[in-house]
Amino acid sequence: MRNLVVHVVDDTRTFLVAVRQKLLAVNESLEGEASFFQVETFSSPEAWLAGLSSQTQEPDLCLFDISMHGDDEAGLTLAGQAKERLPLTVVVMYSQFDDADTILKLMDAGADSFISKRTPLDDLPRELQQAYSVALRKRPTRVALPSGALNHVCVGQTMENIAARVPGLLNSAVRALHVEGETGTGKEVVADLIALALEKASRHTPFVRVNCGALSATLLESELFGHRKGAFTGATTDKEGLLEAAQGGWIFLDEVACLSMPAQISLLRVIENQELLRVGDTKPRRLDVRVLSACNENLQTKVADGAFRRDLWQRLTEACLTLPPLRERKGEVEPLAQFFCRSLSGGPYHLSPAALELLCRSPWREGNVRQLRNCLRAMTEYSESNVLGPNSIPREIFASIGRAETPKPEDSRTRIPQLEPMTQEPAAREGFLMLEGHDVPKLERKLFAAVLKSLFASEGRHATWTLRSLAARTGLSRMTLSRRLDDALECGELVSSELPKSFQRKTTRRKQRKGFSK
Amino acid sequence: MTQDESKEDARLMRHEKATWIGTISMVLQLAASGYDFTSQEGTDVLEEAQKSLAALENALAKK
Repeated sequence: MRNLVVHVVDDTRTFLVAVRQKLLAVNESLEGEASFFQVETFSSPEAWLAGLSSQTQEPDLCLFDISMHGDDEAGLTLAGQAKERLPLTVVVMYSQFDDADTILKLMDAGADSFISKRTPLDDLPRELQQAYSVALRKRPTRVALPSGALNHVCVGQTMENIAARVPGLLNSAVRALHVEGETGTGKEVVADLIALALEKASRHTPFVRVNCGALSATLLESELFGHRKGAFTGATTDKEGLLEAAQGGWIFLDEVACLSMPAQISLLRVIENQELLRVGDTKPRRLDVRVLSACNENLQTKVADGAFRRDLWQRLTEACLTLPPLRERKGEVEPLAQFFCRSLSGGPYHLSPAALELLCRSPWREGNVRQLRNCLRAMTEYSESNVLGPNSIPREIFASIGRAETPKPEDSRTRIPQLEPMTQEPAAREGFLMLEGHDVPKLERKLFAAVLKSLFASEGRHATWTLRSLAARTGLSRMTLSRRLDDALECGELVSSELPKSFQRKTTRRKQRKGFSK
Repeated sequence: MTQDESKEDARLMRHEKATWIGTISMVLQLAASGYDFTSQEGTDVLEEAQKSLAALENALAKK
């Protein structure tokens, strides 16, 4: 895991100690030798500026108090100095005062973010991570800035193995790496890993990302290779291309199969001869760039079809990584799902064992890890609590499980028992889901009725139950409980006489309101 | 004392109070997290918190 070097400057010793303790506590909670926050504290701006020259590693993030040693603007001045000396460092201001005027003043002074000192200490690590990621994303720079550096999905054995190989790869003589895999398998994560490793090794090594599918053929050529003034209509000045911007570093060509034939020839020249010819130029320029390419199609098939040059394919695949689809690494669904549950907004969420089992059985053909993330995001929308049950799984995922499993009658994995097919129920009522070949709503109603019956049996049917107390005991919201109760009564899983007396009246009234005939 | 001076004084007092309260709050959070106050650093922290508390009490008494 990557270290985040944090410098804290505050004139109050207590704050320095508390912040350091809290950030280091995060490191202790991590396993093995992984370290996350690397913290240095300074009691004055002067001490920080003096100590800066002796530091071997520039800070990734600086946390400055605003008012120090009687100077209300000491932190602001320091933020300006920090931005001048360390343009890549994220500057976060830390203050008791979080009024709009103060925050505006901070941003004017060059600070990237602001954290109130009233934020509970326990939330500080997360707030810092968030401030850091947001600041990185905001930067309009070509320098290697890993997207979502602290949140990238390097979870699961496949990505961990790749992450372990990246440093060796960067130190090798390999000049071109091709990553292949279905959409959502993690090609961009590989790019993030390389960007992170480069940034860690030297903050000034460029890593330029280009999506070849997002630009038209002519525009892409001009963007990639640059052009001379007057090369074409509208070329009013000389322009450096993205390949030149990546001089000394890496260029990531995503969707490389979308490159036009002329662009393929020019790129071949760059890789082969390490020289580049801007559009309209006559003099080639020396270029030292390593190429990372990615594609969600099989490039070899494109070569066979004549849509991609064989010689370029051979050079791009000097080293090649093939990312297996998620259905071929089922063991990784659980850690990935747990990771997303922790990181989704509004979380952390917890998956019920049944929901997790169903997720592990899905083939994830439509987007692999991205589809899993989107599925969990949707589940959080459907769920009424932080425990995500099978009910909140989107219907298309259920359907895909059915499709994946139906042709295998010999499959001996645990299944939801086959019940008689539904007759009069609508295909999907709100809040219920259909699993192909299985009557899940009916199973749910049966379970619900069984739970209520056992509850009434153990506590006595004559106990004074209310919707509120029953909701508290079952862990359901009153609205859900009421809906399920109506549904179970309507479908005959529960009969009114089985309910406590206090409840029968309410249920009857509710049914009458809804227009059910008794 | 002019009106501006008195406003400035009030502003400074608000800053000071916020800092004292912040310091005391941090020490309480440190204590809750199991921080060992027996070291030299811990002693310094406690001393700072005591000073903040005394200053805060003093300011409140004046009011």
